[in-house]
Amino acid sequence: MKNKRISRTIAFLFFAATFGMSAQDLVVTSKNDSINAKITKNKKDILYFYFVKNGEVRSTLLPLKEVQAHQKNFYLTAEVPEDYKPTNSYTGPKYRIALNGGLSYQTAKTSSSVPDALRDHAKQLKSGYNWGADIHFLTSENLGFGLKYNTFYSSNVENKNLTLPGNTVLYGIKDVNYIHFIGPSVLFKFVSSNGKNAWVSSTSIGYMGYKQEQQTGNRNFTYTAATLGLNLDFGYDIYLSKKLSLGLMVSFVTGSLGEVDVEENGISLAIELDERGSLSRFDFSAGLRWAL
Amino acid sequence: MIGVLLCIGLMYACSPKIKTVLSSGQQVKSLAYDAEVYVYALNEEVPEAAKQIAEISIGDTGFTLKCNYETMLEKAKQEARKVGANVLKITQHKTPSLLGSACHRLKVTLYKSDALDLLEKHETSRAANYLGDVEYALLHVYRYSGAGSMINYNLKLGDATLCRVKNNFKTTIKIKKEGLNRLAAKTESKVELPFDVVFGKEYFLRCSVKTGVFVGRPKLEFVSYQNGKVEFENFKAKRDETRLSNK
Repeated sequence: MKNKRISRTIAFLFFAATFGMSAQDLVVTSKNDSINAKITKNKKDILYFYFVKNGEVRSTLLPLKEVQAHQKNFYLTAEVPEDYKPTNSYTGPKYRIALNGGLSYQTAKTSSSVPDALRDHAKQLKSGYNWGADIHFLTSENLGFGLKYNTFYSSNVENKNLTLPGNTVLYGIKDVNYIHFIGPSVLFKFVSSNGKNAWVSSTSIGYMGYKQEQQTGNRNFTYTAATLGLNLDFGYDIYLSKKLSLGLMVSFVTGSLGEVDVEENGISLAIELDERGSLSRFDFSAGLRWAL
Repeated sequence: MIGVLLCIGLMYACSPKIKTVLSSGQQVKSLAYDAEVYVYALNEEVPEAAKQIAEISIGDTGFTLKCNYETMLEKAKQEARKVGANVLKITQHKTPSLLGSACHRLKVTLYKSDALDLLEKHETSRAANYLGDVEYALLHVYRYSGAGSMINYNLKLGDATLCRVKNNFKTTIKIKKEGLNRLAAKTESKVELPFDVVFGKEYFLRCSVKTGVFVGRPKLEFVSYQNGKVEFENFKAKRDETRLSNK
């Protein structure tokens, strides 16, 4: 009895392996064509399937109103090879990696609370440099999702005595500013009709970190803050080869601070600003882009 | 959406602008709403005995919402029936443009003809979509200048790329894969169309870009042989790549 059950099971498995696993579907069109097909999906009243025509596997779709009947596993033998894999509809590069560097200019007006003696110094700190990198995974020729990073750097030294209100005298001042930005990014790319260049734009919202290292006389202060930042890029890629292009870009980066931590000799103090400090700036950069 | 809301208050403005000028001395006797109106394209001559009834121009109010070729031609036919004309001769056809109107604009002369046998013969020849006993079909692809002009996309037949669809563009491709096929294009999303190729026939595919979430989506639509032929021939594309290639 037990032997009989085992032999029946083996026979069933053999049958399934031989026929069942490679069974294929039937699609009967409204023109009475019966197709040995492999139905992949039935969505929004449209039937998607593969079939073999003239020895070639074809992918197609039909509105259900043009299909008389369809049945899964109707045929015992398959015309479409089991291991057939359709090619992806997007066959271009999967990744775009960009490196940038250039000049920056902060757009915010110098606060009225900055003493006259320091206004020139503050103005000098508005201009600086930027560098950054980003990587995007391209889901199509026009759209990508990824990560963006950039840094703004500016510095200035005043080697002279500066008289502040209340007759306080500063014996020189040195400031080094950094603004870091990192965040998820959406990239839009529009390849020109001749395929030799592309307009590129990206939008990113993420973390913006501010750091200011200040030295006045023999005192050292470090100001730090963090906020939510927005980065908008508009660029133009000139294709140098299939995988490499030269990019020119204008970016607008913005964020604002309400509170800053000041640290001196390991002692930290949080200062709430009277008016929010703007970190807005324009970056003008150039760099290389790789399509992988 | 805004356009639709605006049109609730400005219902008239959302329809095409139609101007009809009756020829002098004409007695207007309307035809039935479903009476046949025979269309003569730009390069076709109306029967000699046909009597001119009116001239009409169908244009864009600036708020016109649906103004593709089929709609504008149907409007012209309605005007023809109103004035008792059964022949419609297109004298000017302006196609949509990025900086101009997004509508097809027609100037049409309307005639009355009793030579029904000639008209029927003409209609039959217009509808004859047959290239002869050949082993290919022709796919005419065109895209007017308009929204999403920066977005180009590849048009695929199965896994093979047929052409790159650009703004203000037209091309003709020889298709040698008879039977059921699939046309596809992808930008931020993919669109697919069934394409049942019959050798000896011509197909007209109107392409465009419609609003999407990020960059816009491709729009592919087959146009009837008669309308497609008129649209394709009248369209003076900036990127005219009309040539035959084997696929």
